[in-house]
Amino acid sequence: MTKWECMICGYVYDEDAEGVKFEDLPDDWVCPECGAPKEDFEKI
Amino acid sequence: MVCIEITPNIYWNGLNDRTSDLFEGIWPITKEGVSYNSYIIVDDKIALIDLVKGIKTDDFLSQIEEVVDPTTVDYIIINHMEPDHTGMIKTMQKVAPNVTFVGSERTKQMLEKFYHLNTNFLVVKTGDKLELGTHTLEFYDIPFVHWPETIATYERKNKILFPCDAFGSYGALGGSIFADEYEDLEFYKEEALRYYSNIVAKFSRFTLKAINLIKTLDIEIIAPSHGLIWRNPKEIVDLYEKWARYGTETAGENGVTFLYASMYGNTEKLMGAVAQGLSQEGIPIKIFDVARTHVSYILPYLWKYRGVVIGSPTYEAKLFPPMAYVLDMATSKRVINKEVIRFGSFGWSGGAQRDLEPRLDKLKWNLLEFYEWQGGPTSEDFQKGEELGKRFAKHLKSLHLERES
Ligand SMILES: Cc1cc2nc3c(=O)[nH]c(=O)nc-3n(C[C@H](O)[C@H](O)[C@H](O)COP(=O)(O)O)c2cc1C
Ligand SMILES: [Fe+2]
Ligand SMILES: [Fe+2]
Ligand SMILES: [Zn+2]
Repeated sequence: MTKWECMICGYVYDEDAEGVKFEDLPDDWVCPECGAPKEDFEKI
Repeated sequence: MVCIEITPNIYWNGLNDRTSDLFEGIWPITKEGVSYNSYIIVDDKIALIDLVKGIKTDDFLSQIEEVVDPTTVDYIIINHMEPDHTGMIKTMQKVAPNVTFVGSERTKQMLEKFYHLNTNFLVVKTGDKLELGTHTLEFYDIPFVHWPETIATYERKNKILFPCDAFGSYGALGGSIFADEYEDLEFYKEEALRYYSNIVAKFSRFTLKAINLIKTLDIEIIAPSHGLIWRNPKEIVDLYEKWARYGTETAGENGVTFLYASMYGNTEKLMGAVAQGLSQEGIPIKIFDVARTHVSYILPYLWKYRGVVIGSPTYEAKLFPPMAYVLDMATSKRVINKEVIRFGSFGWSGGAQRDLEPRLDKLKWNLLEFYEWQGGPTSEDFQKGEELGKRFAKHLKSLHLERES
């Protein structure tokens, strides 16, 4: 039940809820809230 | 002050705030002050662009009265919802009950939640236009510079951009509202970097996006909602672009932000030696006692200089708390790409270094080496400190040369 947080806007990506591991998201995936790229996310 | 004409029928109608101690409840402005710039466009329709903080209501209304009857204002453009630009909203709605507020979809939603107003609201998005008569306003979304709802307004006839917080700075306005009328801009440029590093820096990627967007517009004047108006817009755009790149791709300038703190002087003693080593190599350094300097003044140096020295003793098995706070703030502001050394005294079993390393991992700062000793430094420690400083300076210089070539 890993969650990842956008360090820019605070959006939380919840792997359980989304059904997709964060690592498995495509490289060009961006934060749905602010558009920040994957590298701006950190595991929480 | 009084209303000041920028171009025919477009006026600056701002307020200087010289009595607030903290901006956003955190950043000191006691000595520097700040301005909240609002603008009036007088045409068939009358528009205000951005308002001010909810202070000096009488002054604000009197200034409007110098050019128009405030009850006849048709539009208020809300580039940004933050209360330093919207604090006067309820007052203006009472004064001009038929006014229409203009802003992004997000602003509409936030306006309701912040002020609980029942108002006319015109939602705009990138490319939308609003005709005032001979003047036409165009709107551009610039999200996360530095809030999600933010837009910039462009007046096509006079080629003026009103970007609100972007290109802004601390510092109350002196004799003129125009940058080009100052003999010396050093104060405002420094305050612009302090403002950038305190408020905008975290959103550097979005700032670059906004800069790329506005570069597609023909701009003769940049009129932000804090600080000076630029009739030579390139000057401030170039600065902001340079700073935004420090936060996204390029490393900073050749120089060292030297952070230290000391309870009884043991770490401070070595601070002198390390700084001497650095200075002998001719590298710019800026020294801060982090227990005595507000982080607002430290962030601009952390932002612009490539090197960081951390001089911290052990305190209850961890870093000295004021140092930890500065590093937390750097993490929060996304200060990246730094080269680091550390030194510090401990009393019995240390712990500061153990506390520091995961913090540096989080910051993605590169720790080159560290030096610790128990209690007071000996002459050997002094020598080691000086050599540490020298090696660090040489390392930074070689990185700098690499980049230059
Ligand atoms: C610099 C700054 C950053 C903010 N960041 C966020 C944020 O990331 N998420 C959020 O929901 N609100 C954010 N806000 C909005 C505040 O939480 C909101 O304005 C709140 O009403 C402030 O309450 P206060 O007046 O008690 O300080 C931020 C506000 C400021 C000034
Ligand atoms: Fe703001
Ligand atoms: Fe602001
Ligand atoms: Zn985000």
